[in-house]
Amino acid sequence: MGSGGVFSAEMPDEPSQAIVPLDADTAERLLSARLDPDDAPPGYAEVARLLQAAAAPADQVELAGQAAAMDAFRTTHRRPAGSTGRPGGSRGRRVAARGGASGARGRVVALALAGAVAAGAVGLWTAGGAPFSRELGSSSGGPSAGGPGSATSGSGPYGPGGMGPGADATGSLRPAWPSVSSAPGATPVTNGRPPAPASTREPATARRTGGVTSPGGSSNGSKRTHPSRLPRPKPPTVKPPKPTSPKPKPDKTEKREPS
Amino acid sequence: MIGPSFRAVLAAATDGDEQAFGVLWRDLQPALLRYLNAFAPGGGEDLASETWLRVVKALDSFSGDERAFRAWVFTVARHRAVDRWRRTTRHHDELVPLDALTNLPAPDDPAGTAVDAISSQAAVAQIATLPSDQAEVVLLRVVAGLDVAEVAAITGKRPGNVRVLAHRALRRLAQQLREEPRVRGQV
Repeated sequence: MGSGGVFSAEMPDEPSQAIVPLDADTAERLLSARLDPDDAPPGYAEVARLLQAAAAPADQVELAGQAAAMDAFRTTHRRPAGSTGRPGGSRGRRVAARGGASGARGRVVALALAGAVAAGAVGLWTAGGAPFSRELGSSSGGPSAGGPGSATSGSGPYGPGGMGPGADATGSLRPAWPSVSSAPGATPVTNGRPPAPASTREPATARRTGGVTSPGGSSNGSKRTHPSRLPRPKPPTVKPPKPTSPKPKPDKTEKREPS
Repeated sequence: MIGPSFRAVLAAATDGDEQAFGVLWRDLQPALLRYLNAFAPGGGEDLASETWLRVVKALDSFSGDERAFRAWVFTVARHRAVDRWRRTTRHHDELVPLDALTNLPAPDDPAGTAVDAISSQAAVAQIATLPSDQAEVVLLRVVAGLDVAEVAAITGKRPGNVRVLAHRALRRLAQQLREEPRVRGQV
């Protein structure tokens, strides 16, 4: 820097030769701005002054934004107090405010679920011959519970409700461009929330898809038909058993008796 | 530094006490501004505001002593600065204001040799002329008051590497301050 300029001929060949190498203690005192410039080694007095100036106490210009910071702090801390205490409260209000579209969507979903229930129940009914009303109750504890779509199959590798792989419980250090949680000795603070573990999603999926499917069959490929339109199963007709012994022929016996 | 009352101040700020938060803010904001202004001149205020927003939102998630809190706040600030730097898609060495450098007092200037004549802004601008990794290490050590291990954790470097960068930075600063009159004479 500057050695190749117009005045390079007037400059010493190597100006850094006059700067003595720093020992660790002096460097540490310089970097903590505790080294008095008069006590600094040759060539470092200006550095000591510069670093002391950089670490100087705050002036009023630097504290001018305190009012805005307080407003932001007040706003951030009042928001949870005004809410219902549930993070999704505002979302719930938004959904409630949307009303019509979401209501229609909900009705469509309800109809689809009802169809799935009907299809699964009818499948059981026709297969086993049990009454329809009993099969409705079997969605929680009947033969379909515990199947592939059951809510009991939701425990992931981190346990139910456990931390996802992205969460860092120890505040461990990370490579360059560290995350918010990489401060040494600090409790992890991830941006927002840790990713939802799979174990918390699986039961929801299971609740949507499980419990209403018939064992061994799914409601996806089956044709949905309203139960009232299905042909009622014929009650089993009891036929009298055929007699094993041959019927006596009265005509012949009558003819033999007189003889 | 706040000192022994830090835990009480932090707990009160976490509970929403504005005065306690003000204590935290006044303690860290000047250093935060100096650090951020070195990497985004003119954008330090905005970055500091973003940093404090993040800190306030995650305040109840933090637990640790005062040094850990400082390190955490500067980690958040560094994240903000890196995001800004990526958005601008320009090398942040280009963002150092040259006006601030030319306004530095010369070492042989009697007025400039007085400690109080060097403003903290000019001093930070001088440090910002260093290579970015050296400048960051010096700013985190001197301005933020963090030790080698904390700076290493924030920057993702090894402690030995941080020491080497600091030594090189000090030597380079000494050279720059010796050469400054000649450099200014060329301009």
